[in-house]
Amino acid sequence: MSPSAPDRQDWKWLLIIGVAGMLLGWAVNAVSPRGFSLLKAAQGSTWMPATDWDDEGDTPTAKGGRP
Amino acid sequence: MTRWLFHPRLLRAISLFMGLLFIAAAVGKLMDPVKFLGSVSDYRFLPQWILPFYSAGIPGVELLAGLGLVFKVKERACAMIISALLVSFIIALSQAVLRGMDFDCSCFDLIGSWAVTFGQAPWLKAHAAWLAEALTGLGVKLASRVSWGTVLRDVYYLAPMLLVVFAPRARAEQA
Repeated sequence: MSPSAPDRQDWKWLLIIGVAGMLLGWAVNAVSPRGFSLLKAAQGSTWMPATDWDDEGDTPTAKGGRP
Repeated sequence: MTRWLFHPRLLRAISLFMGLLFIAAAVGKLMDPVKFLGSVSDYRFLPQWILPFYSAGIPGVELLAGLGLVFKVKERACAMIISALLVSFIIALSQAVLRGMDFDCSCFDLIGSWAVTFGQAPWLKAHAAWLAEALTGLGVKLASRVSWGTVLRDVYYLAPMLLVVFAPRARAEQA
């Protein structure tokens, strides 16, 4: 009854589940009515932070959201 | 000591609890991707071009890993994923606290998106409220500010998850 470290198979399945999960998330985002365009969002053009910050960037001023 | 720590029923209970927790958290985030994107950007931790890919993809990983833990499918690999996610959350939360930032951590509060997404379905609202109460009863605060307390909560989730990662293998699994 001694602890057992993850083996090669575990790392392989970690990779498979991780990649499948990312693809699932992107697919759900693509069909969701509240989804966003990944490429446009990467350019920062289709969304705003959930919190608006003051000029110094340390204090939240108001709740933001989707423009 | 190790016999008690790695007792199969204890490991099963940990997997069930953490699996259900991550499924609930993931579904909320999947229901409202744009809100989760905004929440992740609040941390100001990741480069902007990575943010949308990370915030859209991570809930899917949480969901699959949570399902794997609940249904005992590649349980160790799923526990490794959840542990890695928890470590990343601990790092992101810690840097936010150290920088003096103050906002909702968006860990579980998006669970409320279930009811929002399905509009006026009263049965779903009732279930969302029940789930929120049940999770609160288990020590999961749905809306919590970024703080050392939130960091500590993730450490408290990580410790039992590591037991599943390093659980002794069954004889059949070793062969």
